[in-house]
Amino acid sequence: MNSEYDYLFKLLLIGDSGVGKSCLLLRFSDDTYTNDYISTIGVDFKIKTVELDGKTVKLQIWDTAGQERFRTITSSYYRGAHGIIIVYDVTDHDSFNDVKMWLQEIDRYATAGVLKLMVGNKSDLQDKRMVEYDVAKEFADSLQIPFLETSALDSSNVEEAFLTMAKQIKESMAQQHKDTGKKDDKANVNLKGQSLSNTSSGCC
Amino acid sequence: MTDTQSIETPSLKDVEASDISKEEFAVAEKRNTGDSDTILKSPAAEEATSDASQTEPDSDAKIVPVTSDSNDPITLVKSDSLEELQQKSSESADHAPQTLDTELQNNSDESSAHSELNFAAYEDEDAAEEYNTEVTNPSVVNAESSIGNEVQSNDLIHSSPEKPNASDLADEQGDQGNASPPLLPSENGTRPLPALPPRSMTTSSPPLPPRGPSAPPASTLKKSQVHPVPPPLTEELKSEKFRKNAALTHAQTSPPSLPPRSSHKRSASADFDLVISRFNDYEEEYLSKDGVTQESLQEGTRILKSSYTAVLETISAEKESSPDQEEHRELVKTDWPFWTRLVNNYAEVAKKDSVKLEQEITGGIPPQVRGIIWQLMANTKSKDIEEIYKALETCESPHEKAIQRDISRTNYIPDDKTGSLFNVLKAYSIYDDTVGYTQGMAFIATALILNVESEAEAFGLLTSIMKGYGLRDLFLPEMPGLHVKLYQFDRLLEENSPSLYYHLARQGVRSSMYASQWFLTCFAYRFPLCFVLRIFDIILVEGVDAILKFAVVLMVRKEKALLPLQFDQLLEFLKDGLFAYYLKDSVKARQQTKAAKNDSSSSVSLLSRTTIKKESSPEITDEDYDIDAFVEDAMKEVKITPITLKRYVAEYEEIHLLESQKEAQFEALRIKNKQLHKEVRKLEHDHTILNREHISIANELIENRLAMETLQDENRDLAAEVAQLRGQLKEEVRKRSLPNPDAELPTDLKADLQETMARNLQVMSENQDLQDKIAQLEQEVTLLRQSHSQKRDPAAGQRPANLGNWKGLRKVWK
Repeated sequence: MNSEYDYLFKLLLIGDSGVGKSCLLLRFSDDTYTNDYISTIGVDFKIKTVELDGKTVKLQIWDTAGQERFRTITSSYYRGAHGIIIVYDVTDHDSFNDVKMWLQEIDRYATAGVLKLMVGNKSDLQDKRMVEYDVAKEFADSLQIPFLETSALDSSNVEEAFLTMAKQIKESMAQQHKDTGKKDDKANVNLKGQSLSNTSSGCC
Repeated sequence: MTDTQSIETPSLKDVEASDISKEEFAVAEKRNTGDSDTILKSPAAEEATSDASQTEPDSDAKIVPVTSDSNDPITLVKSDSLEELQQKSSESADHAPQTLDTELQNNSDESSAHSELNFAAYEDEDAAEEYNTEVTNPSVVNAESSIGNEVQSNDLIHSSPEKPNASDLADEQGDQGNASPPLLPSENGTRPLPALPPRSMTTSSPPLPPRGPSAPPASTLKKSQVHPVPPPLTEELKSEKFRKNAALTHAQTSPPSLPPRSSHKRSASADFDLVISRFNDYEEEYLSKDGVTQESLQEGTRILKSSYTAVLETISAEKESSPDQEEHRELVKTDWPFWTRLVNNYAEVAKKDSVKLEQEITGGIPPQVRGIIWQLMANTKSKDIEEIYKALETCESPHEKAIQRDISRTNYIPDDKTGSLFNVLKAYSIYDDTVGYTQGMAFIATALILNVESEAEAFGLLTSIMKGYGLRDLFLPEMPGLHVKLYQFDRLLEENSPSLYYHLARQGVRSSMYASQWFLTCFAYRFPLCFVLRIFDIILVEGVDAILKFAVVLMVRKEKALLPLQFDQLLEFLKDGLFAYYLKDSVKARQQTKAAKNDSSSSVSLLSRTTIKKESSPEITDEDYDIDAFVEDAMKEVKITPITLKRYVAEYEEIHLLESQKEAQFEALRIKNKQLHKEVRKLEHDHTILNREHISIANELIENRLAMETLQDENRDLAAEVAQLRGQLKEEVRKRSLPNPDAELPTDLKADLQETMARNLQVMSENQDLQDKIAQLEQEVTLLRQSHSQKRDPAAGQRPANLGNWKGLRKVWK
């Protein structure tokens, strides 16, 4: 393992064009904000190293173009991702409606156990808000996806969002190790069951 | 002869440059071959020659000095390549002539007449000349190369001891030409062909470039062909001298790029030249339009010309009075007559002077007339377009929201032009609704808007670049064009810098990670505007494929910096660090860089470096140097031929087809797998049920068996009983069969009983009767006794009488 970090997690930012994916990433990685950030063409990439429970975690974050037709390029980045953050704009209802579509994309291209996080960005624009927190929260709960509202502008919840994701991934990795152990047990049980039926049939 | 004029001009110039005596020779040569020049126009003929030139790489090397510029470094090259040639010959002295002889042998098998001529060629140089002329005529592709070859061979005849070889080569070429069947006899071939110069006539020819090195297929073909003249590459590499030569001649001999001559004296085919390829498209497009549109376009061109004149007038006024030294120099530097010529007749310039055009365009279109010249080259200015634009301006587009969102997120768009940008993009999204709006288009539209007068002009240019130039393939919903470009880029990078290509591949950096932005925005994504505009200059002349040159040159220039980097740093660097190579250098730094360049550049690139320095130094200004260097590097270092690109496209399509097939297969398999999985689960379920059933049946079976056992036991018992009974029965039967007194038992017991009963009844009734009689009699007796006692002694007498009666009765009863 590389000595610079204990874990390397690959994250992916998806969501409609203009919801603020790049700004979120810029806020998280460089702690800056620009209003006139140019639109992402293709994919962009940032690295950020964080401390998590005393471990050094390197986050490799891929930022994608939101426009649908960039899918031919962006879809290949789903597969390697450990966590995918779906971003929508709280001032744009369409972008929230499209979250479903993005989830389908994940089902289609990502690995089965990939972790998801839903993020409603631009929470600072309260007077322009079109998607209520409760509605989004309910939706996220129904899908058992963690949910946060963020603002890249005032940086509220931005770090939390990425750290939540990182924690989840770390936990799920630990869980997976346990699971594999459990699975072995189950397999044994099954084998026993099998052998039982075998003896019963064998006596005939 | 007039038809060949255009060809003669450049070649003459070059020949003149190199050697006066050669010039004379060449002219004489051309007189001989003059008529033949037109024949070359046959594609088959060209093929033949390219075949010939493939089998003669030595003559390739020989061509270099004669036809390239008369610059000092080139002269150096010339002598070196001669040395090289000699060395090669000496190295291969053993086998080369032999194989040539073999070939001659083969040829003579084919035609004995040729052998005779060969013989004649040895005897008499003049005769050989004649022979060459005659025989080569039909086979030569173009005047340049044929003359080049022959001049060279003659040069060698005069100057080197390789004489027999040289004439062999010439003969061989001739033989090959004659031997190839599709060639017409020279009488037919000499008919002058009209109008177009030969270069545009050879579009359809499939051959490999005559100077092979640029196109990999050529090299692969070469390998497979019988090709004995040059020693094996490994041998060549062993030679120290060769390496030195290779280093000095760099571009000339190294496969990735064409020899420098080709940038001055190009192989005349749309297959090998982007400018010509693009110009052919331009003509085709123009000719495909109906008369009205053509007229409208001509009208537009006239308008552009007049505005050019106006601009020119202001410029000449400025020239006189320009207070700014720098600006003044800039204005003077510009080759205005050329641009005027270009404006007056672009077709003419593109057709006949594409070399000069490429040079000038590499230097950049003067910013004052950039928009005008762009429109002329794309042939977009017309009333029609303006009308279309006016009609579209008022329409609504479904992409408005997306466009609006990106307007402020686009580079270099000044605030007062944002409205125009929106309008142009909106109009285009309606005009081409398959594409609609794709992110990245805004960057391209911005560059156009900044250089033209009106929105309609920008719209016209945008439609032309998208449709005519084919940029729209990149923006289609599935982005097929982008994938093709990325593939071409990968291949070109692999070709130009294999180490970098493999380093990136090993690090997992794919070109789509950094280069999609370059292609989708024509570098406007992160590059300074001045770069972008210069790139557009080239794109408009050479077509969209030219963008690959810039992409490749950026990578190659930064090769050293990129090679030690790891994945993360690579991506960072590719995003932000690449153009710093050209951008950062200030005036001072430039000098240093130059020095550094000279130091750092290995001997391989020394020559090309020097050339660039020489050419660009008198023209550079402080600000422009970097851009000029960039553009020049791109134009000179990276040679891209349409035919190579086409091959890559074909390759990509094949790969893509395979991939999509694989994907479809994969998808089908996934679906099938899912179904099978389901089936398996169902079967497993069924299996469990069956298993359970099986167990219960087995249990039942056991129970049944047990029951059977019991039954069998019972059966056994019963059987025993039966046997016992049988025994008893037998015994009984046996007993019965013995004589037995009881045997005759009354069978009719009932009848007996009835009889008895009847008798009993009879007896009873008789008894009754008798008792009645007794009672009667007793009564009589009593009566009698009473009467008797009364008569005799009543008391004493009665009793003995009664007793006597009873006794008498009893006796009677008994």
